[in-house]
This record gives sequence, structure tokens and C-alpha cells, in this order.
Amino acid sequence: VSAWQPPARIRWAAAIGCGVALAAAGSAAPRRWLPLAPDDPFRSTLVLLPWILVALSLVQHWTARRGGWRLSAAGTAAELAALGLCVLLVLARPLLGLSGSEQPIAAGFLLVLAHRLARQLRAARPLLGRRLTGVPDAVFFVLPFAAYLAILPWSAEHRQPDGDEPYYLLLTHSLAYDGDADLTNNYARGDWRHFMARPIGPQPGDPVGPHGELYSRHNALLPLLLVPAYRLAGKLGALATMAAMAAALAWMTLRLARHYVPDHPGEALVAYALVAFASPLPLYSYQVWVEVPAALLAMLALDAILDLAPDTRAGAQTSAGARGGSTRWLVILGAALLLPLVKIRFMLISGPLLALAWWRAGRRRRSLAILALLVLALGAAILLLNLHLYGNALKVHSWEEIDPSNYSPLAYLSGLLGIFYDAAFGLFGSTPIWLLLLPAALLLLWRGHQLPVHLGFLMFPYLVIVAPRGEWYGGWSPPFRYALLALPLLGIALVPLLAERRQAGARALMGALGALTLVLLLVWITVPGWTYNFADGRTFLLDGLGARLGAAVARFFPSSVRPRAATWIWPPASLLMVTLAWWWPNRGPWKSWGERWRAWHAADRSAAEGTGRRRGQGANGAPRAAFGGGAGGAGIAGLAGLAGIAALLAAAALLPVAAARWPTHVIELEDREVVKSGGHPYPDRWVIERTSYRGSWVLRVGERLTAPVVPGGRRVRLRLSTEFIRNQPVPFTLDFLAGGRLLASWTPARERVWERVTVGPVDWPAGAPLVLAAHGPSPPGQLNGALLDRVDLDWR
Amino acid sequence: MVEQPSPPPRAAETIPPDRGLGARAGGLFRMLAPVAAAAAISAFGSHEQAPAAGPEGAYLGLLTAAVLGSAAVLAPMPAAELGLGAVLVTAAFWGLPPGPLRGACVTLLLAAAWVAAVSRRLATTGSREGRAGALSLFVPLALGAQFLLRGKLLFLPEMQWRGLAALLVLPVVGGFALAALARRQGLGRALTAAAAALVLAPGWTVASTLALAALAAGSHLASRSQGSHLPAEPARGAGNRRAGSPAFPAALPKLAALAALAALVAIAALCAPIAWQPRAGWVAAAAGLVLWRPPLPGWPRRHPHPRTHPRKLHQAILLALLALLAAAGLFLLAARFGAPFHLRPGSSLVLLALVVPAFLLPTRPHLALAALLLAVATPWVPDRSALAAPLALAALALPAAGPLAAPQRVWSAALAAGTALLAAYPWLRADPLAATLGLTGATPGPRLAVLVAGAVTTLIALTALAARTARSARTAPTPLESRLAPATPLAAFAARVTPAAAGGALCVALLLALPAPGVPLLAQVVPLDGAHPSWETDLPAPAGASAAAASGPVSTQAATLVVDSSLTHAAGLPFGAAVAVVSLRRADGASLAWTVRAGKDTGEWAARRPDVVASARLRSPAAWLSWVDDGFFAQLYRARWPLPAAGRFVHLRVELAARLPSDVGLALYQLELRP
Repeated sequence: VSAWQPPARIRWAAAIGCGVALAAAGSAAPRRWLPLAPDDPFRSTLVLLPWILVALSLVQHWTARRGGWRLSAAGTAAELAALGLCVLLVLARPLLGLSGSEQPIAAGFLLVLAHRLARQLRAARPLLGRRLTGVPDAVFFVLPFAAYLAILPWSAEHRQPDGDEPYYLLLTHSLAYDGDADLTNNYARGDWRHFMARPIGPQPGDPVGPHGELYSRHNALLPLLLVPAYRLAGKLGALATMAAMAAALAWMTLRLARHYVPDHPGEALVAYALVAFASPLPLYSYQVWVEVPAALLAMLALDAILDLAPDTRAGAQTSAGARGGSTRWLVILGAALLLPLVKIRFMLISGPLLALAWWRAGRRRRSLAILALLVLALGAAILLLNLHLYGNALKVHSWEEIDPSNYSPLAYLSGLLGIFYDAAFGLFGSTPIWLLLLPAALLLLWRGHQLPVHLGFLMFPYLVIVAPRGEWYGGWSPPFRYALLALPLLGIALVPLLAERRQAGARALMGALGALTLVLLLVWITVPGWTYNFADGRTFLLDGLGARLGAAVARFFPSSVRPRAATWIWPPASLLMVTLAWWWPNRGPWKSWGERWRAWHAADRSAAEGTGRRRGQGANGAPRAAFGGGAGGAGIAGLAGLAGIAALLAAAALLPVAAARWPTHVIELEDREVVKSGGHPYPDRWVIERTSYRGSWVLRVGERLTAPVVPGGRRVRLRLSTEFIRNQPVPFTLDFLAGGRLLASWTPARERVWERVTVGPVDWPAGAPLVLAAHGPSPPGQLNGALLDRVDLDWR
Repeated sequence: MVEQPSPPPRAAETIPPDRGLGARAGGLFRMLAPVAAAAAISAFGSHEQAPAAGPEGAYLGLLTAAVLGSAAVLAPMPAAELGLGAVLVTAAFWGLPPGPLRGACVTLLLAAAWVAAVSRRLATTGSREGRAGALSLFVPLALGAQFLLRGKLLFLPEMQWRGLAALLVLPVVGGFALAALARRQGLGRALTAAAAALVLAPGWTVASTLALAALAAGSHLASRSQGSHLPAEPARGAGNRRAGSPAFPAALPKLAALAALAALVAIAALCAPIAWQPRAGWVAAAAGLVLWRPPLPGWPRRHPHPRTHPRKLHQAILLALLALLAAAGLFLLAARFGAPFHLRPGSSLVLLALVVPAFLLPTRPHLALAALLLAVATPWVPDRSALAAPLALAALALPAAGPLAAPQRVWSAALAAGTALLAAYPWLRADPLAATLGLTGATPGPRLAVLVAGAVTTLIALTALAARTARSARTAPTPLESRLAPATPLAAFAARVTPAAAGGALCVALLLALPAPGVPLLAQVVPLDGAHPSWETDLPAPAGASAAAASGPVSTQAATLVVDSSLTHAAGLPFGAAVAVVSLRRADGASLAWTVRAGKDTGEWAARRPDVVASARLRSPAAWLSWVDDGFFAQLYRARWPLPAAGRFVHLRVELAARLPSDVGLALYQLELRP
């Protein structure tokens, strides 16, 4: 007689109840008993840790219950052991006596989390079945949400809200507690103390009411969304809401994938993982930026649009009775109308969305007229309101700014390349695995897939306005801000490429780029401030390396803020190299190499396939090979991946050597490898529209710069870009020295004018640094000085 | 129930994964990642501006290549731990400033990657390895363990031929011994025995290597005496390949010759410890003999089921008693000629209980008893690593697998990991085993031994009780080991829970031993010298102090002051010379003072530099942390001052001693007030 068992739902509810009770008890322990100081940087992480553990455990049980694979006990034990070690290290820091160990320990926590996420995602593969249909499982929302919550305490504590974030939070505070958008009392009371330590004042361009009321120039829709959670849990509540939106955006990737690539669920899962867990989305998950809700709205609308009619070109099937459907139209119209309310520039997304909906719905003229009328009415209303409140329909912007004819093709090229390639703000610079988009785009175009058409149609008007702007990089923000809306579609664009990943080149590329991405993600999360680069052509990471090595490292990486040779070399070179490497050795002249390689591995494959057969298949009939390439390819895949990683490390080994040996052609004098005895950068790092200034260093009387020089010949001609600033009616002289040997002296005749001072050609002693020394009389008061931008070295 | 013969091996199991040419080439490819990582580390270090970064890069690059090279051989494909380990180690080196923190991160990552590779290898093929496979497992495993435990031998400026031989030759011999031991005693027992032997010195020393070699020889000769070369322990499929090989009858004469040669080698291995160190080597030889139990004149031949036969106990006891007699004889002989014998029976017992606490509940009592007697009779010559043989023998007495083996394995793994880390850069502890045991908050000694042995024994007893309860209704009592076949839900639960419980208990013990968080006073190093002879500070309010408390006089509750410091140009100071005075003042003006003394509380930062070693008068204490400087390991020292009266203090002052030579300086790395 079998014992009575409660129904599954009751058991599941009991499990959740037990989990919540355990988590509550577990998170109370660090508060009471663990030997942690109240301001310990890990305190809130340890308090949240039990909740994350319970959430991940419930996800595992849910996944297994829905037909997913079970996680191996050994793997879980290893993760728990590693987690225990990390917790012990946190608590034993005083005992170890290793100052500055917080960030490496945080990276340790992240590695454990990454390991768990990788295993859990792999185990969840059967939940997608053999073909993507319908609504993806809730696991694919909960998993990124739990991950974002896990990194939230560390990130939020180690980085004050910045850029536009504090103003959104202050507006949220005002809406939550005052019930209005008037910030006058909030500035006066210092309500910023509720979420940051640095005081803030009104932003330039903020509207002022008739009675002196201070309003924010930012729209109130996002703060309204954050109000309930902010009221409940303050700043962390608001940030958790943002994390939920980011997780929903990641989930939308899988939902959209059923329209474009329904036959590749395994590859779609990899693409989803990239969108959800590779930067930039995790970086935005704990910050307040309008791009995340805007992207969510846009993808919701796109999903509803694609549901309107079956897409015959991709062979996708949508649900029955897809054409029409009031709910779908409600979603489309709602999203299209809300987007401009989030930020007015998103009207450039609303328009194409409605146009696409009209196109897919049968292209009726009446519909077009109604939709156009709606958009125009909304746009006009917003513009009129702005005109009334700000005296300017575009708030702080001008019509000239958005007139494409005011920009040169070079500005477009520079901005577009910067959005992807810039070392400080670009997608590829922060997350190299996205370089796979290059061959993916070629493949999609080659196959005539509809995704590039949709992507281009949606993003083209928006990018036409955004890309050539001086602030193409997104202002004071993490990388890839303005194009974040396209991230889910970019992820899906990888799917057809990932379906052709069996060859050695693809594996090597994925190994190298994946490893580099992981390392950079660890850096971006453990040092959250490092994603907030200044728009002066420098990056925190490359600056740090340059200072450590005493050599110009940044010159090898592209920057659209400070264009240099690398800015123009990297795009074509990476397109060529990544594309060729991906298909090596299956295409082109290396095809015979590939066949020989496969022949060599015959014995390995047969042995591995035997192992693979014994391990069996997953639930739902989905073979493991559909996700990971199968055990049969594990040997070759592993070797190719290792070879890719070895190539990456070899390239890394070459970098310091190249920095020390590659002849110096340009010295950017404000860079960190240039040793300064005094002075300061100009303009100030916080200046708005930073890209419209020349980045330079102010050298005053009595100060000197010493720049390392790698000679590229015996003789050199130096050209210094400089501007003389006269504060005293006394002479000023700038000496050029090669080490201790005086080369020339320059006495400026004109002031406040940029000049190019040429010295030489002169003989250059090997190993000597370039020294620029300012001297002259120094009467009381402000000293004379010069703005020094850069030195060009022309070797003979 | 009739015992069924083993099923024939399946085709997939008989195909060795290293047969294809591609796989051989793949072996080379695997080595690319460690080599490239070492190149990236060395290149970055050599170009860094910090003067010490170059030597540190060279050292850590070499260590990376060595440890990851071992992992490269061990890791099953796709060897993610190897690739990620190489990248993360390189990233840690590039991302962190030169010094102890960078060394600690690199070492920790290397250890993690190596452990992952070993674990995966053992989980996938460990117990199914053939003879060649076993060597390809155990030799790199032994090498990797040696690189982790004695990694400082890789420091190029201090490298000598002898050290290089110790680094490479001993682990290779040890790997062969381990392979032989695992083949006949089972994988789990062999690894536990190795862990017990290696934590002592630590690493592969001549004593530990010869001890394991003697045990392996004894084990081999025992199997030969039984007329079978099959493993004594029914390890999964270990003997099947040999017996099932179709070429077996044809190759019989050749095999017989090889077996004779192997027996000769085994006998040589049994005698080798005595040849190397007669005063202590006989213990290793005796331990081997205990395993062998050679047929003595007048004694009956072995019982067909030797494991269950009571006579084996008598043999073992007799051999151990003979060993004790030999020890006594040697002791008297040494006493007669005035040579020190270093017999420490109490300490040996304590060490046995600390390293192999589960020996109290063995599945082979005769081995446990012999190990106990031999441990008591072992002279610590040249040091306590002479105990490697009895401790390893005690480990061989434990259960081969299952939940009863779990507590000892968790303890051995934790002990080995802790010892490896504390023996490695930047800690470089002279006695890493004691330092590891000290992490529990107790001084290694009889009390801790009782605690550890009690905890492990209780856990094993509870597990056995649970399993026995589960099975008692339907089976008669069986040997302890066989009671835990996971036939019932409770037994299966015990099998799952026991390792977790052991690990959890260990974690809780370590957590409880952690000191309360103190108040660090320094954000950067403070140098004191003739020009700046003192440093003082008002003590900060403790973090999280209430506003009301902060409005009064700011004070810090303290019971202990921890000082991290080092001396410069102090090699000429006498031991115990006063170098500084630390004073703490209360709000009422009363103060406490403490004299920091050279050699006791602090020492020369360059104490390991060859010229200082040659000429120093000062004997520096054991270093707290080390870092690579220009050709030597620089050191800093930690001293604790338990305040005579705990209380709240408002001011702290450190002043150099008045009579200190003018060129002597004191660098303060950290001052921490602990409540």
C-alpha cells in the first residue's frame, strides 16, 4: 500500500515556504552572529546570500520537475565548498592581513555564481524542447533576476548613483513621499541622502515653475514605475525593480527567438545567456536608466507585431488566429505610446514599430492613417508641453542637433564605430564575445534572413539621430547605452551562426572571446566605477595598464573620442579575422586541414561517443548534443577552445612587449604613463559635451612632464599641439628635452590660440624620455602656462 | 546467493582515449595554455614599473606553468578548468599590484584549477585506469601536489640542483608508489594515505616518498604471496582488463619474468628506507612488512579469505611488537653511543589522531593497531615526516569507500588544502600543518587531537548507526564497511549527507574560531626612522557607533593590539633588542605601554637575502607574509599584544626605541585593535 502523498502543488508550495523560512533564518544569522563590522562591504551580500541560494535551489527543483536535467551532486558540492571558502575568506580578512582583498573575494563569489548559472542553464535546455514555441518558462526570468539581485548589494554599495540616475531617484522619492514632481523641497531637505552620499543640485536645463518650483527635465514615467518598490525598500527596492525589468528583457530574447529561429532552441539558449549574463545588460540591471524599460517595451511590441501574421520567410509558426487580435494591438499601441513618455527620443522607435505593425497587419490605408495620427498627436502633445514648460520643444536640445544634414559622414562613421568598437563605450570593447556579430551579420545577409531587415528598420531612424551626436557614447553612463534597445535582437542574430559552431576555428574563437569576456565581466562588476569612463579618449582599464607598465598601451585599441590609427584598423581587421577564423578549417583553402584533423581524432571520437551513449539523453527527448555539441565532439571542441585561449594569452603576452618596443608616434600628454610634476587636466573631467574639447594638460611655470619614448629611428621631428595661457605679463618658455639634453625652447608669441610647435629633426638618444619643462618668472598670483594636447613624433 | 562473475567490459571502456594521433598532438595543445599563461605573466611582470614585479612575475609564471602543466595532463576534456584557470590566473596577475595579495590570488586560483582537474579526472576515470592510465594519473598528480606544497623551490634565485631533484624526482617516484598502492588498496585509501604522508613535511620529501614506496612494495608483495595480482580491494573494474585480455595466456612467461623483477624492486623499496636513514627508516620498512605479512616459519599459509581471517591480526601484532623491540634496541644502542634518538611517543600519537582521526574506527583493525604501535616507536629523524609510514598505514586501515570513509576524506582534503595554501607563497609558513590546525582556534596538541578524533569518530558512528538501523530488520551484522550499501532510503540518505555534514561541521568550526573584527588603523605603510621616529593617532569611533556615542570622547574598545611590521638595516641587532614602544592612552589619561622587540615581535625585512643570512646577528621570527623582492623573499611579521586590561582607548602612539641605531627603521604595515 503506497503512502499518501500530497498533491504536487501543495508540495511545491511547501518547498517554497520552507525555502523562504530557511532564507529568512539564514539572512538573519549574518546580522546577529557573524563577526562583521556594520560597514563591511560584504555584509549585505552575506545577508542576501541565503535568499539567492534558496532561489537557485528552487529553480533547480522547478527545472527538474518540468523535465530539465538534474544538476550533478558533485558539481553542487564543489560550488558549496567554493562558496564556503569565499565566506570564510570574507570573515578571515583581518586574520590574513591582505589589504585590498575585497575585490578578489568578490570576484570569487561571482565565479561561483557564474558556474552555477552555466550549469543551471545547461540543465534547463530540455525546457525549450526541440522547437521554440509559445511562452518560455518562468525559469528563464527567475535565473537572471536572481543573478542580478546577487550582484546588486556589492555594486550598489561600491558605486554611487551617477549620471542621470540620482535625478530619476530623486524624482521617485518626491513622487513616493510628496506625491508630486516638484523637487524644490527635496533639494532643500537633501533627500539625496536616502540613496547617495554626494549632494546634487538641479541639472542645467531643468524647468522652473512660475513660483520658483524646481522640476526635473527627465520624464516621470520610469520614476512612477519605481515608486512602489522605493516606498517599500528604498533605493534597493528601486534597483530591484530595474533588475526585474532587465531580467524580463532577457526573457524576451527567448520569446522573440521563436519568431526568428524556432528550430534552434539550443543555440537560442546560448544567445539568451549572452544577452542576460554577458555585459552590458548585467551592468544596467542595478542602475536606473531609461534604456532598459524602453527596450522591454520595444521588444514587447515587436513580439506582438510578429504574432500578428505568420512569417513565411522564416518558416515560423505563430499561434492560431494570429492575424489581428485586440490584445496584441493593445500591446503594440501601448508600447508605442509609452516609449516617447519614457524619453522623447524613443519616438524614433515608436514610429518604425507602428509602421512594421501596419505592414504585417495587411497594409490597410485606414490603419496607417490612424497610427500616424496617433503618433503625431502624441508627439505634438509632448513637444507642446515641452515648449510650455521649458520654452524649448526639445528640452535641452536644439533642432540643429537632430538635423542629419549638420553632420559629416565622418561623424556618422565615428559614432557608429564608437558604439561598437570604442574601448571605453563600445559593445565590443566591453564585451568581446559580441564580436561574433560580425560573421553572424554576414551569414544573415547571405541567407536573406528577415532579422537584419527588422533590426535595421527599427534602429535606422534612431541611430541617424543618435550616432553623429557629440554624445554618441551615451554621456556619463555604462557602455552601449544608446543601442541597448537592440540587444535582444543582436543576441538572436547570433543563433544561426552558433548553429555552425562545430569547426575548430569557431571553438577556438568562442574559447578566446568567451574567456576574455568573462574576465572583463568580473572586472566590470567587482569595480563598478570602471564602466563609467570619461569621454576623454581614455579608459580606466587601459589607463591602469599604461600606468603600471609605464608605456602607452591605449594606442593599440580603438577610440572614437580620440581617433587614432587603431580606430580605423580594428573594424576591417576584426571583420576579416573573426569571419575567417570562425569558418576555419571548414571553408576555404584550409578545408583539407580540417579533414585531416578529423581523421586524426577518429579514435577519440569513437571512445567519447561511447561515453556519450552511456550518459543517455535528457528529458523531453532533447539530446545533450543539441546544446553542447555532444560528447563526441568534446575532445576536439576542448582542444580548439584551449588553443583559442592559448592564442589569447599569447596575444596578452605580446601586449606589454609591444607597448615597450613599438615606436612612439603620438604622445597624449594627459595620459597616465606621462609623469607629471604638477599641473592639471583640461577641460575638467566632469565637463558636459566633453568631446568638443581637446583633451590636454595644463603645464605651469616650474612644472614638467616626462613621457616615455620608444624610438623608431635615429632622428625625429616633434610637433607639439599647444595653447599659451597668459596670466601674468612676464615671459614664458617651454623647453623640449631628450632626457637631460636640451633640444629646443619655445617662447609663445600669441595667447589663447592653438599652435603646432615643430622641433627638429633632431638626433634622439635611445632610451631617453621626452621632457617638457615650463619656466619663466613666477610673480604672485596665477602663473603663466600652456595647454599641451599631444606630441606627434615623425621618425627618420 | 551465488556470486556472479563480472560482466565483460563494454567496447567503449576498452578503447583508451589516448590512442589516436590527434589525441597525442592534443596533449601538446593542452600544454599551450599553461605555457602561454606563464609567458603572459612573465612578460607583464618584467615590464612593470615596480622593481619587484619582474622577479615576482618570473616566479609566479614558473609556478603557473608547473601547476597548470600538471592540471593539463590530468584534466579530462574539454578541460575548462585548465583554460579558465590559465586566463583567471593571468588576469589576477595583471589586475593586482605586486605583493602578497597578488601572490595569494594566483596561488589560490592555481590550487582551485588543479583541484578541479584532479577531481574531474578521479570522478570520470580514476578507478578505471589501466596501468598506464594510473601512471598518467598519479605521476602528474604527485608532481602537482609537490608544486603546490613545495612551490618555493621554484624560486629561481634560490633554486639548487638538490631542490630541483626534490621537486621533480621524488614526486615521480611517489607517483609510481601511489599507482601501485591504489591498484591494490583502492583509490580512496591510497589518496588518504598520500594526504596523511604529504601534510607532514609538507610535500614529497625523501622520508615520505620512501614511506609510501615501502607501503606500495609491501602491498605488492602481499598480493604476490596470495598468488594473485588482482587488487586486494575490489576496485571498480581494476583487474578486469588484465584478466579479460586475450593475450594473457600467451604472454605468461614474459609476465612471470616481469613479476619476478617487480618483486625484486619491491624488496629493494622495502629496504630503501633503512638504507637511507637507519634510525627512522626501519619504521617504513616495518609498515611495509605489516602490509606484506610474509609467511613466517611454522606459520600456516594464508587463508583464502585473508581479510576475514583472525590470524592476520596476530601476525600484524607480532610484527609490530618486533618493531617495538627493534625500536627499543636501537634506542638503547643510541643511548650507549650518545646519539640523540628523538623518540616522542606522545607527540606521535597526537599527530596520528590529528591527521588520521578515523583510525579509531578502522575496517582493518590489524593495520590500525600496527600503525599505532609503529607511530609510538617512530623516532622523529630527521623530523616528523618519519611518521609518514605509520600515518599512511593507519589511513590504509580505513574504509575503502562509502559514507564511513567520508569524514576522514573531508578532513584529509581540508588538511591538505590548508597545508598547501599556507605552505605556498605568500604565506610560506615553516610549519604549515600546525598553522592549518591553528585555524581552528586551538593550539595543535592533545586537546585538539581529542576534539578532532572525537568529532570524526562520532560522525562515523552516527552514520554507521543510521545504516545499521536501516538494515537490521533484514540482515545479520556484517563488517562495518559493508553495512552501508545504499540499499535503503536511510542508508542512501546517510551516504549523501555524511560528506556534507563533515564539510559543514568543519566550516562551522572554522567560523567559530575566527576573531572578532577589529579596527584597522593604517591605510598605508608608515615608515619610522631617525627622521620620523614616531607616529600617533587619535583612535576612530567604531563603525556603526551611535550618534550619542560619537558625541562623547571618541574611543575604541580593545583587548588586543595586532602589529604587522618589519625592520630595515636591523641584521646587526641582538635578539630581543627593544625597537619601539607602543602606548595606548585611555580617556582618563592612564596609558599602557608595550615594547616591541627584535627577533620576538618583529624582524628584518630582508632576513632571507643571502648576504643578510650570511652576516645577520639577529634571528628573525617566523614571517607572517612574504613577497618576492629582488632575488629573495622579503618578509613582514605579526605580533599580538594582549592588553593587560581591556578597555576603551582614545590615543595610540608608536615611537622608536631611544637607543636604536640611527639607520634602523621600522615599517608599520598595519595596526589593528581587536575587542
